[in-house]
Amino acid sequence: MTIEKLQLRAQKKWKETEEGSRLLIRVGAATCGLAAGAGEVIEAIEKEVNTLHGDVTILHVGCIGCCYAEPLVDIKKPGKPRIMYRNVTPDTVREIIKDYVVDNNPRPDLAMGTIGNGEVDDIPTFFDLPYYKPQVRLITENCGTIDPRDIDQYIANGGFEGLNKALSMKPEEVIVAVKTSGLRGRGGAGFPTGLKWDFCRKAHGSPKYLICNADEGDPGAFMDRSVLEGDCYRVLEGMLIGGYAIGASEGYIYCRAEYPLAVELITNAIDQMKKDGLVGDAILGSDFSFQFHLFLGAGAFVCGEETALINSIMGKAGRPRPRPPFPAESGLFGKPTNINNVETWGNVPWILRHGADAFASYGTAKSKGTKTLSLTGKVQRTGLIEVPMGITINEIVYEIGGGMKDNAEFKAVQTGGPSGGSIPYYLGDTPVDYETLTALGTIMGSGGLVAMDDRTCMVDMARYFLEFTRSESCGQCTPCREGTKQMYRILNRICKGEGKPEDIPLLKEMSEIVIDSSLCGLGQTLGKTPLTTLSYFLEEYEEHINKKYCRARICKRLSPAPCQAACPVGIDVPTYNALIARGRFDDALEVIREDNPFPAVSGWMCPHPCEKDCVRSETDTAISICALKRFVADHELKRGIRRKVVTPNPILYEEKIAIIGAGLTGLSAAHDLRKEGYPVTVFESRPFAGGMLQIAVPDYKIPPHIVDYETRVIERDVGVEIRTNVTIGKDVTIEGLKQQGYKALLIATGAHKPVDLKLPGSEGKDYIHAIEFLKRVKAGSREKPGDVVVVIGFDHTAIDAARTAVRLGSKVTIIYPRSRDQLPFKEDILKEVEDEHITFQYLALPTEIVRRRDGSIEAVKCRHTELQEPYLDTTGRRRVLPIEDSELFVPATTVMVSIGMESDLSGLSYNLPTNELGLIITDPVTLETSEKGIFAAGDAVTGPATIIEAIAAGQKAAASMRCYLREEEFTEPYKLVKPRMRIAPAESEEGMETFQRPDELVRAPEERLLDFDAVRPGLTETLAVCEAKRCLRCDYEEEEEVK
Amino acid sequence: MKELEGILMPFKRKSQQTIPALQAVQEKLGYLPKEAIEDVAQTLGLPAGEVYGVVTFYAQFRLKPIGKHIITVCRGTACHVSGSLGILKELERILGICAGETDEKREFTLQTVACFGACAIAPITVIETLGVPGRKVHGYMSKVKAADLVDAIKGEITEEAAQAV
Repeated sequence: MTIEKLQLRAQKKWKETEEGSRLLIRVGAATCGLAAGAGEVIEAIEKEVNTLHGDVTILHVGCIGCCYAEPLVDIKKPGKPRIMYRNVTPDTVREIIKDYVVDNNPRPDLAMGTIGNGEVDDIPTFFDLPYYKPQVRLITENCGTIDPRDIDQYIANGGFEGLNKALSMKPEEVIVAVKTSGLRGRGGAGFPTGLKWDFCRKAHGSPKYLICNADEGDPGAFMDRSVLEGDCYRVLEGMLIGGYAIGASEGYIYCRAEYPLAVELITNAIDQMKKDGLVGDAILGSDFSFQFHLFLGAGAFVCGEETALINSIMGKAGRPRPRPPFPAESGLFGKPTNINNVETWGNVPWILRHGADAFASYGTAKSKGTKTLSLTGKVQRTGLIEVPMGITINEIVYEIGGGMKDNAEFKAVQTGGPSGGSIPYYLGDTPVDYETLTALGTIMGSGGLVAMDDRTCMVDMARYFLEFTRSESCGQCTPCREGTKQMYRILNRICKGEGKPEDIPLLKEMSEIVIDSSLCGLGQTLGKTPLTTLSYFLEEYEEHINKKYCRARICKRLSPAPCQAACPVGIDVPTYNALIARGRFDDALEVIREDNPFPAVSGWMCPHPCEKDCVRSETDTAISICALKRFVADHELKRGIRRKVVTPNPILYEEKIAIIGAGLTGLSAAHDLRKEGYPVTVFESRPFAGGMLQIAVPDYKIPPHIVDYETRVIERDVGVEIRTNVTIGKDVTIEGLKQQGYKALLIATGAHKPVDLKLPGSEGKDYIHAIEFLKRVKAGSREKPGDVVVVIGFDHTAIDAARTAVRLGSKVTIIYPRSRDQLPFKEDILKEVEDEHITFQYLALPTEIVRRRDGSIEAVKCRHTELQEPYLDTTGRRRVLPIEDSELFVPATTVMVSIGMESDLSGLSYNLPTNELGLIITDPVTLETSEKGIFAAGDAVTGPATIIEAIAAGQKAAASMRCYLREEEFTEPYKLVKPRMRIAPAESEEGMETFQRPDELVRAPEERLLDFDAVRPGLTETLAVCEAKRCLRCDYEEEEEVK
Repeated sequence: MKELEGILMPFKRKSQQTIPALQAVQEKLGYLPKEAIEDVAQTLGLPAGEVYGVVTFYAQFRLKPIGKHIITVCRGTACHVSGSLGILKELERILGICAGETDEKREFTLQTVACFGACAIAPITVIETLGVPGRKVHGYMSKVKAADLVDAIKGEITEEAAQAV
């Protein structure tokens, strides 16, 4: 058959399908789509359309690339563009068919984009989505559009035009075209394809063979699978063109057995091509003949190496052999052989059809065309992408990938799988091309691109790859066989916390030796992962070895329970959870007290960073760690008696210690030092201890008696002396304290002075600092601050002020320059605030307080803002841009501001160096000020922090002061956080499998707005025990056996 | 072995067809017993030792019988980063066997694969049942989902047993 006849047939059919009167439904049914549930969706569609009695065509197409949105269904109504629907389920597909097909409502809420001519209201153009905009789809042009089982759909879309063109040229001219295009091997090494073909063409020997390497063994890569499952004809056409150019008459496709769908599609494609005279003798009427053989690889990573692959086809173990001779001279069955991978072959038809120059117009000077990459790991949008060479890592990660999931920090990308290396985030502007990646110590590889976040341990990553290469090493040459074993052992012991400082140079040396002396590509590249991680993430290796610390909390031995490791004071969460699960509440509380003198305060107020790291959150929701802590603390508090009788430790040392400020930092430091046996006195200028919690934090967040109780425990059980109503600088001076024999002093006076916004119109009684308002209310005032209160600011103080004003009868609006999803509060807190009828004015930036003639406030004048795409500011959020000439007036009678707090030391009458915010400057490690023996910690040094950070600061100061008094050197306190006890998990009860994290009870808004009582009443005993049983007990897991 | 005669017929004297021949035999038997390896060697005209060498080189070939339900946990990079080791450990715990093993009743085989190639929906676990064509690929796996899948299969086993009685 001639190409014209084939095209005529194919185009007629295509026109009927695409432009006919039938409804056309495409479902992404590649392996990824099926795994996401496309099979069930197809069944649902078939059932649903049966009821429509219309003409419907359902195409099972390959993957269009956006795997993260699968299952994908794309519906084309006659005369309309295709509409792509994302994350479709059998339920939603029924809705879509009913609403769009029957009722003509395209359901923009479920749609992703339109493809083809024409627009649909409220639905963007599919290929203009951020995921697709930077992409250039050449080899994947048909993926997701054509049915990979129907050769006519391929022909109708330009299929075999390239072959036809090649057959009209001389073979040498075809090679010149491939050379001119600049195409290089897409398997990873990047050898110029045209040159390779030329070698094979000129080699003596007959017959000549072609091989398509479809043994995609790189863990983390699926480009070849996607191309084969979406458009395998293209690869076969490429081989035909290559066969003609090289003078080969047989081609082997070496495909992984793990890709059964690809195997099925290739077999089907070859059969169809036979029928159409595209395989066999006299292809397209020329004198060129070609046969295909499909060979299933039996699973060996080393078979990606060409000589190993050839041995495998010949029925032997897939071990490589030294080169030369190269396969071009002596390959399969000893004959000249040309091997390229799937993507390289797949590019060839496009080059012939559109011309070498068109291909070379994409990419960089030395790396031409596009590259398919499998973008995976921790980015928001994962899938198969095709990008022009030279695109930067940042563009891929942020624009295409949409940044990291769960607001995590981008740490590195691994390219090239086990043969490649890691590129750190700070080299994110690196262009993706062969030479640049090699210069950074990694390789392009076949295209796996795994994005990693701060929860990925780079040492563990290197260990993971070495585990892989160790087991995949063919064992033939000594450096690779023994080297991988030893390197794996080194990495394994570092991950287990048994590493030695000399392991670092040893690992480096071994990597270099294995690279230099191995026989094949596997050994010559496997050292790149250890070498790149060592050069870009050396500090992580050092932490593992010297501090026994894994910052990503992945290495199990170093971080048995991530919750405990995440806690700034290292509370033994697993143990207290286990005790709660067994009903031993008092014991649980004592376990908490070992690390934290404020269990109740923490239970009520802690922002619980532990829950973010809870392993259970990977399966459903995190354990309610904080509420459980509050439960045991409240349990004791209700009774008012501590079951365990504790008396203060004896005084062991004579050096007296003075602590200025009885907030959480001061009291925590006093607690630790007194326990050590030092006489400690805390001086507080107010009549009560407790700091900010008792001065300004509203009662509905934490009732004052809770703080009182815990302060009393520190006085009574620990023996700390607290002197209230003593103002340093007035009643007694620092000099005076020294004269009284205090050997060490800690300044923990906090940060109480509000920062002013200095807006025009801010003078007047109706403009107040939120903190001053909160202090007044805490002191007992119940005066309504104004009818209409506008709060400027978005820290905890601002939110507290808003909620307090509402309780006093005001109508409250909070102005926030960003959007709701960027508020620095957890969703449950935000919902509580919204439930209290507080409104938010998002995307507005205040510029002026507008006052009436009589001086009273009328409104807050703002500018609208927009959030800049896509680049992020230093906090990882999108930058706020005020819109020029935009205006917005938010009505107000009173304005409250809270944009931060400074420290104010003027009362101390003592000169200490401070920074521009009035914060005390200390040695970052010892917390000692420039004055010997005077230390400072807490908010006075760092500015406002969370309660758990305040407690941690006090503990650190105590440790440092102890060292100072004992004349020992103080180093950053490093605790190997491990559970204290090994408590077997409690027996699970009937029905526990379905028990869900209890939503903390919250009083109804109409009820809680009437008083200042606690918003959350806390967990009940039954709920607490059930919740504690939900803990997966990571700490109790059996240790991994190391072979 | 008699049951292999038909399968091995096309491979007679084709010494380079070791891998396809072994694949065909394993497809039929589920694994490669000693006798089958000898039969393959004889058919191809190769020493049994050489065929055995090929068998042990490739990950696909098994020397031990497998269970009715084969659970494969992907240990590719994307799956590793997304926590597939935890899933594997959980399945080992639930099933009481290590990766690469089959339980005594031959109900389950647990194994790993270097990469399954569906990394975008990592972590991946694949479940196959002997005698049932096709396989079920599960994306976005978790420990809890893994436990649920095993429970579901165990439920089926009990049901079948009840029906058999």
